Amino acid sequence: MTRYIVHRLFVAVPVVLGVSLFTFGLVRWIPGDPILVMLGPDAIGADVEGIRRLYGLDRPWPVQYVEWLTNVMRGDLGQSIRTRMPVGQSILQRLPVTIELTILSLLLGLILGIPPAVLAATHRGKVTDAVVGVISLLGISVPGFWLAILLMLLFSLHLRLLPSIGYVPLHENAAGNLRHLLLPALGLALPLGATIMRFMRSSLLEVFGQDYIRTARAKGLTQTKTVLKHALRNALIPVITVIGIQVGRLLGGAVIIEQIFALPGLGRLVFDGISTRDYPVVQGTVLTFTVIFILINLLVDVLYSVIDTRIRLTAR
Amino acid sequence: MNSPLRRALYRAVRSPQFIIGAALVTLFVLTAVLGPILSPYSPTAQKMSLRLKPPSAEHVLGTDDFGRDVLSRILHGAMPSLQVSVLSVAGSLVIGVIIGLIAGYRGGWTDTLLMSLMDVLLAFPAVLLAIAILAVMGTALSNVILAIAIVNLPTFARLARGSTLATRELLYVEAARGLGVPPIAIMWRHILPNIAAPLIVQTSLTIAAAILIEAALSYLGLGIQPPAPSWGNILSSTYGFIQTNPWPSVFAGAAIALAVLGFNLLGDGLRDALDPTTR
Repeated sequence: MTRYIVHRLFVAVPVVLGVSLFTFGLVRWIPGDPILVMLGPDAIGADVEGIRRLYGLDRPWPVQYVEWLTNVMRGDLGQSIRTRMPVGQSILQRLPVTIELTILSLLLGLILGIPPAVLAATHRGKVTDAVVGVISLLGISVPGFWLAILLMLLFSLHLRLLPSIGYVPLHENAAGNLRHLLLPALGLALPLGATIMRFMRSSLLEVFGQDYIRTARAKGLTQTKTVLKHALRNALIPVITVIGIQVGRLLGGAVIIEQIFALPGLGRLVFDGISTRDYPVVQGTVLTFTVIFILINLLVDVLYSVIDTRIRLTAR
Repeated sequence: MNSPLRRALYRAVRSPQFIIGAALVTLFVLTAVLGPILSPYSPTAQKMSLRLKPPSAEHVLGTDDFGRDVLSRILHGAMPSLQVSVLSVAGSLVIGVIIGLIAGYRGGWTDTLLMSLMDVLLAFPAVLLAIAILAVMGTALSNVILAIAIVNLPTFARLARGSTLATRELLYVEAARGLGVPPIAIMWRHILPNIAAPLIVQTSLTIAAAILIEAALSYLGLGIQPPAPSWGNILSSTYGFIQTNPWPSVFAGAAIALAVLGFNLLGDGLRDALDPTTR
């Protein structure tokens, strides 16, 4: 077990290095001089040179990269050009919002996705199967943020059941937090649920064809018991990987959803950073998002190997 | 094109998914091409006396906050959406297949290096990668296409590599190698036709995904720039007035959903026909 985790971590190292190099390079690619962007058009030549030296931008880029990476690993992501606040601090402030949103969306996606998939798979070729198929196809085709806007129109503006925008921290008011996050999370959860539905259905159908399911049925287990005790658990295994990959879509979707619902999360931070050309903020936030995504997939792989021993044994 | 592939495509043509998908995609392409001719008004003509009107006889889909005709804006918005999605996916398909063929056929260090690069791209959440690229490169249409092409590149590279690995050791490829056929000719003439089926399916599904990403980028102001209309920026510009007139948001979103649905159905139909195991 430990050996497998060490192996997975070892494989992740070059990817993380590549990601850091790419994120570092992002700011180098900006057309024009970042110092000029920072100082504005009235900068005087001597000032520009002074600040360039102060930030170490006069040195070759590999040196700058190593220094930047060392700082990042110490938790220092630099300073916002606009607010002068440490980028790491802004990220930590906004991280809980995005994490809460992602976890709630994930839970809702599972709740919305798995039961219909079970229904469809157990009624293969019947009307139920067809209905679930149409719903899941619509679910993956409709833009999540558009659904969220329509839900807001219905539940907040017309029925006045839920707040339309804003955020309440979890530790201040748990119920209020949930009320504020429910609609944005649904906007992310509907496409996710539809994706889970599709994969779960085909995974279940594959499991239904296995010998141990036939054995379970042959020894007289009811349909419900066979599905719940034998099929569901095994069918979930491949779906877990899909969910890990889908988290990337949740994180990307969060940028738009947080914008629509005025949630003060990481997505808002990166969006505001782009509109104010605050590159250290953009760089730091993109890196944070990506590291979260990599960690989640690492976790998924480890979880996967806990559930399915075969994976662990065949990995070098 | 080899005959099993042609037979499968023939089979696909008769499935209801494929037919509905093809109809929606045709509608999308026709809208993009004929939209500017069919649209009753200029997409940017403002009439402040007619702000935020619901659908009526003169303005079939209503007007937006500048009194612009929503139908005309949606018709004009189809072309950028089609251009961005098809061109970006064409780019990822061509480059991705080249990378995948070389990595899969050569193996060894070439494979490790190319696939590690793809893994790095894959490690970023997709929309975020596109956002980051556009944030530094600027929002020209060509940059939007490039950004979405980069986002989808690893999907095609991995798919092509996987199929190439499976095909490389087949007897007829080995025979070609034995006869001294150069590697490029083997990849082009013997491997590519055999890995085409999953790539065709993936192309259709990825175009659907690309339309969604373009809409998201335009919504965030990183795609097609106003006042030029695109489905994503119609959604963002009319969002603030949703309580007074929700119709522009409803119709623009429905247009996106129909186009995406078309390519998803087409992809599903093709997959069922090309891959007998999923039936």
